[in-house]
Amino acid sequence: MDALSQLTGSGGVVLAAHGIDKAYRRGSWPARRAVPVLAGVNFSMHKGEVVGLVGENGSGKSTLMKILVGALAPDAGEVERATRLGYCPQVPQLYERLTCDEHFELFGHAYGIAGRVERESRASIYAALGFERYARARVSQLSGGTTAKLNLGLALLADPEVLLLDEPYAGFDWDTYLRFWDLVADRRIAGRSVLIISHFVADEERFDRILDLRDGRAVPR
Amino acid sequence: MIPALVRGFLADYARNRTNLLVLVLVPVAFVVAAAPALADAARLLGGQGGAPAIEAVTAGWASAFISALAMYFQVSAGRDTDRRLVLAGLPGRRLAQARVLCGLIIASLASAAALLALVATSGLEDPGRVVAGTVMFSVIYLGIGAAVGSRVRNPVNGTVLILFIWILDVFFGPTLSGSTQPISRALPTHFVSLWMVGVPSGHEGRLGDLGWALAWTAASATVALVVIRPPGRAAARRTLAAGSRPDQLRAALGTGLREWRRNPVLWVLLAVVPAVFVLLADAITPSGSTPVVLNEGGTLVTRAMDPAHMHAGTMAPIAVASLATLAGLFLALDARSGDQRLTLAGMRSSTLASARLTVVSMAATLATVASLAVTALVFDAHQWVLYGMANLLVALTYAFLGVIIGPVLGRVSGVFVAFLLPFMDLGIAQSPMLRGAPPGWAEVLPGYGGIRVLTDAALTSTFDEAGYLVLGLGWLAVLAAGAWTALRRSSAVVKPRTRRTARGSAPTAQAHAHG
Repeated sequence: MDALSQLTGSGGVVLAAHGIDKAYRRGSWPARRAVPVLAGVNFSMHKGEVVGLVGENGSGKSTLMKILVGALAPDAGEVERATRLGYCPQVPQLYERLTCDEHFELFGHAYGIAGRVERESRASIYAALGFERYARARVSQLSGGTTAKLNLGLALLADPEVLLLDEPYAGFDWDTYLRFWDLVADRRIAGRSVLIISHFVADEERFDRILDLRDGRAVPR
Repeated sequence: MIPALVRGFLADYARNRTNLLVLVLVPVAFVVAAAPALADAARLLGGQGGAPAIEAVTAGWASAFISALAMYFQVSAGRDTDRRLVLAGLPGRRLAQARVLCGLIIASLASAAALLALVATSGLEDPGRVVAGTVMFSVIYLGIGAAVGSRVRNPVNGTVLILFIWILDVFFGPTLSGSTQPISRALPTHFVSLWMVGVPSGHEGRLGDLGWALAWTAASATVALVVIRPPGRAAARRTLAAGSRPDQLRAALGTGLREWRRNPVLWVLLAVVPAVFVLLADAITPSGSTPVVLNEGGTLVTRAMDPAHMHAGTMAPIAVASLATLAGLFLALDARSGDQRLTLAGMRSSTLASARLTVVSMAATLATVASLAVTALVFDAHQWVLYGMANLLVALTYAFLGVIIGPVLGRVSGVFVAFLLPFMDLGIAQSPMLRGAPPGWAEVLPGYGGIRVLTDAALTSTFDEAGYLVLGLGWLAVLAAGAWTALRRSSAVVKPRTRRTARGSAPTAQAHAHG
């Protein structure tokens, strides 16, 4: 706790995890067993940093992401984070029968941002990712790529200090992929931090740091 | 001010020559040309009151139609200019009064034309009753025209809608069709037409047929005054603090309702389930006799009832409960993953759970209304209001049960159980169709209290089951709390402990491992 406080209290740290353990329970009693996924993960991220977190399938990347955002409780350890996070889950968690506009409106209320700010932010996200023509389309009518854009857009809506993106560009075409990196670059310039989880990293030069999740621990690549 | 407005509105109306022509020609043509044919039709269909009475009622029908159309065009065409007048400083109340007064004058002219035609053709047997009845017809339809005009802008849609209501009222009303179906009592001129032809309805109660007719007339004039009144200057819209609890509740409720009503499966089920359950039950049940234990004034008595008479009434709660369980189940499952993300973004999980529970309750209420509408076609409860409330109690109970079982059973098993559970509880364990009173084991099931109240309301004329009502409400409270907890848990997130870090850096929050 003290070490963590020292960590976040200096050097502009906006997200930190200390000693995160997580195991999933598999099987039924009496053959029930614990499968460890994360074993003492230590991690921190600074203001304006773009960090990549890579690892093999099943290495615990999404589990760590869920613990960082608060969707999952760790078995042990602590997380300290900026008040406002933007989270883009790997599987889009959206409402099938609501439109893109309605999603932005609803999430605007959840983030607690004013209506005018939400509308301006929404317009800039549509423009940046190029899917304004689907503003009134329901999620059930969207292609996979447009759903991924909406998924990302909802994380960007409140201009959070920290953006946590779980496989954000899966399903993007090349043009959208490049737009995505423009967005990330803009955020870095504005002093915002971005953590991107992916099972592979193609453009290493776009990251400030890349961490490997190996044997339940995050190690620098 | 009001006389000047009325003069202006009347001049606007009269300067359209077609209006004047229609105002006189339609009532005259209807009374002179159509009345004899309608009287013949009434004779064939078993209409009440005889041929002279039908001819008298045609005056009412004609003036009603003209009143509704005149009021419709006044309201729909004048809406924007009326708004402008109010923005210029005219009190909206005065404008509404002037519009209604103008409508009443037009209605009186239409009534006069129709009555004159009636005098010229068959004469007036009971002038006071016929004149008063015709005027009441006009005023009732004046309200209908105003209500449609305030909502439907397109004149084709508006006139078709008015024509549809009028046709239903005329052709399914008691004087022409002789219908005795309980649902026909809801027609706008049901009571006034029977009073006009001097035939007691037999279900007028303490108010009497004239009392009901006057009540319809007064309610209609009030509706006209309310719906015509244009909104004043738009007050600064009360904005809720962004992200506050009421703000989030309103947003979650609004989008929740929108998402729910866009589910086509629920609409199909709403239409199909009550029809299949209730109408089929009524159609296939043979007449006979079955003992039913009823509470009459605090004394338990066993009555022999005809299953053919009561089966539809006892089937309605099964339809209601199945629909409500499905609504709760679908909502809990559909919202699950999106809700957790919404909570991660900052939505309060307790607020979200309350919004979801409200949507489920509204869905259950709609299921109840749909089922009762179908049930009313084939079943006449002794205490309709209480019967409806008992159905709603059962609906809410099962809707909350649906919310609880949804996450446990999933979609496929859940749908199966959503039909099975109400059927086992309400259709087998509690049903008065199968045994006089429920067996002992049925008393621990959620439908026990509600169905005892429902049976009392359906088959007896006094409410004597307060204890069972409390039991039913108890089940409802427990299940509501369970459903709320289940919804809250499904969207819960690991709450960090907010703490401001040293030296003024960004506010941060800490999450700790449990234990």
